[in-house]
This record gives sequence, structure tokens and C-alpha cells, in this order.
Amino acid sequence: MLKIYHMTKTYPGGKVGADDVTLEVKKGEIYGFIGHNGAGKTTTIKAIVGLHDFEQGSITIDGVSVKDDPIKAKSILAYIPDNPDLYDNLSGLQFLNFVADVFRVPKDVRKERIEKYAEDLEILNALNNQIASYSHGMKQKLAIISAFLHDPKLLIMDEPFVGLDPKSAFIVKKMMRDFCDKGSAIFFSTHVLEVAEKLCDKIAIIKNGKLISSGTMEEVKGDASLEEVFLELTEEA
Amino acid sequence: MRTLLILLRTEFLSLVNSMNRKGKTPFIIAAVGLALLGLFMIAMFGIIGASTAYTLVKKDLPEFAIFVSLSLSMIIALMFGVMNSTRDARSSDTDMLLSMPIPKSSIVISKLLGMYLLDVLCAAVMILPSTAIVCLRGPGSEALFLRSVLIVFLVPALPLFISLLIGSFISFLRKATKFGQIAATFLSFAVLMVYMIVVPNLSGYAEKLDITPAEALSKMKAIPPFYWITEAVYSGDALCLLLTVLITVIPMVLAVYIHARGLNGVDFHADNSKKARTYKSASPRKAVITMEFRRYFSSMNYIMNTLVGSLFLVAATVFLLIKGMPTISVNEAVEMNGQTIDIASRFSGAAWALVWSILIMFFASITYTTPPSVSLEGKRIWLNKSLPISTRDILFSKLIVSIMIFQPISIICSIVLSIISGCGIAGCLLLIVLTSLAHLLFSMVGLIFGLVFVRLDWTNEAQVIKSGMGLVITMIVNFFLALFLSIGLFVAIIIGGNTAIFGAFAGEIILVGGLCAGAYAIITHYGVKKYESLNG
Repeated sequence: MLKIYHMTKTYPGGKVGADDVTLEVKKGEIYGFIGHNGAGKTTTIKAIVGLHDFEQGSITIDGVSVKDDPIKAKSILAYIPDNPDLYDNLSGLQFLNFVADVFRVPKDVRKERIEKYAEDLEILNALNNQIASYSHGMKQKLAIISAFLHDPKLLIMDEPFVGLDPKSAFIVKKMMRDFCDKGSAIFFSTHVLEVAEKLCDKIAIIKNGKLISSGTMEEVKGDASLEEVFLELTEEA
Repeated sequence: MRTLLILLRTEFLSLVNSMNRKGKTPFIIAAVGLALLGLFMIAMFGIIGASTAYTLVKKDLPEFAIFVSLSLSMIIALMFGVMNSTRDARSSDTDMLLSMPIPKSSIVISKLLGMYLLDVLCAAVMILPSTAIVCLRGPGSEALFLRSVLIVFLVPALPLFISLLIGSFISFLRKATKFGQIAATFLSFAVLMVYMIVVPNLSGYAEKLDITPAEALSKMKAIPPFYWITEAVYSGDALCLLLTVLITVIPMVLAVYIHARGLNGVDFHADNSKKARTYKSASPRKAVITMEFRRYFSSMNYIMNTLVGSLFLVAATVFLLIKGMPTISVNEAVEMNGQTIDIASRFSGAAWALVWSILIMFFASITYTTPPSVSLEGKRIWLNKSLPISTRDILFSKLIVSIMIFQPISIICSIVLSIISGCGIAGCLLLIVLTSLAHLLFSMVGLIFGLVFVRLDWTNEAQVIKSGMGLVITMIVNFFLALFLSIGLFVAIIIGGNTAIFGAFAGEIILVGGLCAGAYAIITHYGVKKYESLNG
């Protein structure tokens, strides 16, 4: 579903954000991406969703190159940033209608999905309120609903659990699992190693822009805990 | 005081950094442009003030000359103040500042200082040339001039206070009713109308004014605060000086106190949970355009700074509709090649279409929706960039908003002006085509400079709407473009005859069309690349 092949991104000034990153996320997989602050997680994610250009390598989503056909690639993915800055002057529903329009979600389908996800995440009653009045967690929930709204093939999430209450985090985890069980894929970054350990089928660890380990959970951590392996790898490398 | 100085230093550093972020060359260009614009404004206001004062001093009304310049400076300050007061005083940094050990009054003062300094500059260019004329040509002395310098720093406090009150009223209306935005627009429109009618005709009024010094005195006394300030400057009367200090400083202190008391974090807690949820669908392109419109109409700041051209155009059309066509007298003649050309005979039929083209092009050149439109995406730019929308569609949605804001009004006004001046159908059509193309060009120029000087890390949208570098450069470039195009049309009026008139129209339509094609090429190549490289 997602193939990153020798991708390198250098920022103006020479700082390497991602250095020769190669990984593959297959259909039905939840792929975790972990690393220190500034390790290159967000840089890689932004390159996948077309927010950043990159100089070398390639990224394809379901066979579509994000460089050659960005619109087609974006039409089959959804992205949730770490800090969702949304349109403050719109209501939650106006924002969701906007996203649904862009992805051409039919009226009855969008109504059904919005009400279902908003009900599950307990923000249905707030949908007519201005986004400016939302807490960080509510904005995060709105961004999550907008991502699931058009039933994408690939979901890219940057720290999706930040700001969510425990119940909502649980629901989102369930939504993620159900989503992948239907044949889609998720690539997400997190600092919460326990979540990664329980939720992910595969995992990649990045440090200073370079992947230092990747594979199935068993391949990466063996018999140790993910925390021990992560600390050991990031200090060694 | 210490915290206030820290805040002012931070605001200043933020301003300097915002201008300097792109390296030295754009910074120098922007600084030169800003200086040119400033000089132009100073010269324009200074000439209006000085010529009015000169006329009144000649009529032995020196005190009245000072009274007029004071009043005018306050009208201008009030106009800026009303436009500024419609903005929400809270920036995204307000919550952070409120959580720090900084007095609220310091926060309010740091936010008001920029406006105050602009008003001081206006007061200086209006009042000082007038008092200089009174000193040089009338009975004034060096002491009078020095007192006027002191007044320049005091006078702006009064309109600033009034505009703060208006701002509070508008903010109350906005919270209490859904008509707050409309009320604010009409209020600003009213002030603009006063400005538009009074300022350009001031020298003419002064020329026609036929009153004795005693009558002038009674007119001045009818408005006590203005009279006190005038007396404080003119005669240096201690009581009037004291009253001036009281009526300017005390309201300002009170306004800062009241604003500081009411300054709280962002609080939008309207409960709409019971409102019916509506699900409307639209095409992706229409969704992007609708989003752009929603953003435009959700920001009073944005509306007030971009609607001036449309408002002026409507005001001018309504004014001409009510007052009738201006009479061009035979006195208004020019010398060309040793021959006196009677301008009056040149103003007939289709020639008026050229005049209206000049008028509309200048109003079109000050409709600045596109320069801040990219910067306004701010940290939300990830959204448009991660959605399957082409960059071209995103940029064109910004042009479409600009077109929809100005073009319908422009076309209606063109038709009305053509009818009242008897331009004929051909003249009217050419007027519409030329002004529409010119407006499109100005919008594209704004979009290009908005992309060149893009700023996504603003803390208050006013930073990009009111003082963004893209906006300043666009103002200058569009002004000179409009001036250049107007010169061609004016020459055609002087030459006269249908050949010159229609030739000028045809030539300028081809020229502006060509420039539009060039700007389109820049947007679709450079603009698209630049937008795609942006990262909030």
C-alpha cells in the first residue's frame, strides 16, 4: 500500500530530516513509527502526504507516485497531523462537509458516517459549534472523523492519541483495527511505546533521519519489551 | 513599565523579523516601497493641509486654519481607528501573555501603540504644515509652532478613544446579534463617506468660504473640545492647554483601563447542539471556493481592508447619481503645442467612459483580497496541501474571491455611470472590459506578491491583512500600474475624437490582457511551485 524507497529529505541549511529511508506498509497492516523528538518522524510523514518535497528516492501509495501524481495519491489517503490547526471560524459540521465535498462523498453516505463517528467519539452535539470553541482533544477527534470520512486506503497519523481522553483513545484504537481488518493500512507515529507494542503489526525506529530498525514486532523486539529495545537502539546508534 | 517595554521590544522584533525573513534584497525593496508610499501620503496630506491653511490665512482666518487642520487630522485618525477597531483585539498570543505576570494594561498599550503612532504621523502631516503657514504668512510665532508639535502627540488620543468605544460597541453587536458585521461595515462606510466628501473638497470649501473672523470664532466655539485644542495651539491659553490635556489623556487612560479589564482569553461558547445538522454536497472545486469565501466573510479585518475600493466606487456612483454629472467649465483648459485646448468640449459621450475607467481602475487597485490570502492559510496550510485539490485550483479560488468581491459592483456602477454620462453601449462595454481586465491584473499581482512575501507564522491575522509585506508591495505596484494606465487614457481625452478614445481603449485592453497573460503564466508556474514548497 505504501512504499518508501531510499527517500532523502534535506532542509535548507543542510539539516537532513530523512536519510535514505526505505520501508513498506502492506494492506491490512498497522505500521508504527517511533523515534525521539526531531528524529525525522514528522519529516517522513509530511513527505508521504505531500506537505514536503524530497530530493531523492520515491514514495508510492497503492502504486501511485506522490511526486508524479500527487492529486491521485492524496485522493486515496487521509492525514491527521500532530497538532490539527483547523478552520476556527467554521463549525465542525461545515468543516466535515468541506472535506466530504473534496473527496466527493455522497450526501447520504457522509451523513451516516459523520453521525456514526461523531456519536462514537462523543462530539455529535458539538458539531454545530465553532471549531474555535473546541478543546485540543475535540479538534483531534474532528480531524480523525474527517480522515475516516472518505474511507481511504491509507491513513497517515502523526501522534494520533495526543489530547484524547482514555475512552476516546480506546475507541480510536478500535476504529484503527477495524479499518485495517477491512484491507486498508495505517502508518502512524507515536511516543507511546505501550500503544505501539499492543496495536502495531510492524514497527520502524528512526534516529537522526535514518531507520535503525524495522520489521514485525517480533523481529524488532524479540523477547524484550519495546521500551528496552528502543532505548538500547537509540543510544547505540 | 518594565513589562511594557519588554512587550514593545517583542512586537518590534516580531515586525523586523517578519520583514527580514527573506534575506536582504526583498527587505530593501520593501523598505524603499514603504518609504515611497509614506512620502506620497505625507506629501498628499501635507499639501491638502497647507493649501487649505494658506487660503484661510489669506482671508485673515489664521485660527480657523488651525481649527480646520486639527479637525481634519481627527477625521482621518477616526477613519483609521474605526477600520482598526473592527478587528478582534485578541491575538493568538493573548492567552500566553495573560498567563504571564504582565499587567493587562501593558498588553493593551502594546497592541495600541502602532495605531497611536500612525495617528501621530497623520496629525503631524496635517497640523504642522498648517501651523507653519500660520507662522510664516500669518501672526504665528515659534512658540505657536512648538505648541502645535506638543498637540500632535496629544490629539490622536481623542479619535483613538472614540474608535475604541466604537470597537467595543461593534464587538457587543457581534456577540449580541448576527448583524454586528453588517453594522460595522455600514459604520465604516459612513466614516469613509465623510472622509471622501470632506477631504478632497477642503481647499475648495476654504476658497468659497466667506465669513468674518467673528463668525469663524462662533463656529469654532460651537464645538468646545476642538475650540479648546485650537486655542491651546493658537494663543497658548493655559486653561485651554489644561483642558486639552484632560480631554485627550483622561479618556485614553480610561479606555486602556476598561479594555484591560475586559481582556480575557478566547471564549467562544455558543451552544448550538440543538440546531439541526445540515449536510450539503458540492464539487471539490466549489468546496474550495466556498471555503475561501467563508474565510473572507468570517474576518471583519479582512473585509474592512479589502472592501474600501468597492465602497468608494459605490459612494462615488451614488454621489454622482444624486448630484448629477460634474460641469466642466471652459476655465479648465490646457496648453498644448502653444494652443489652448478647451477641455469642456472634450468631455462628451464616450470620453466619459475613459474618465470612469480611470476612476474604477484606481478603486480596483485598492481591493487587496489576494495579497494576504496565501498567508492567511497560516498553520492550517497542511489541510489544503494534504487534500486531493490541485494547487492551481487553490490559487484560483483566491482570485475568484477577489473577482466576486469587486466585479459585480464594478459592472453595476459602470452601467449606472455610463447611463448618467451618456457613454453609449460601445463605451459602456469597453469600460467594463477594460476595468474587469485591470482588476484581474491587480488581483493577480497581489497573489504573486502574496506568494513572494508569504508569512504563515502570524499570531494575529492583522499582521498579514494590514501590514504584510506582500500587501505593501502590491499597493505600490498597483498604484503605479493604475497611474500608468490612466495617463494613456487621459492623453486620449486631451486629443479627443472617437479614434483616440476607441484607440486608447483597444490599446489598453490589449496591453492589460497581455499583462494578465504574463501574470497567469507566473502564477501557474512560479506560484504553484512556491505554494507547494510552503510548510506551515
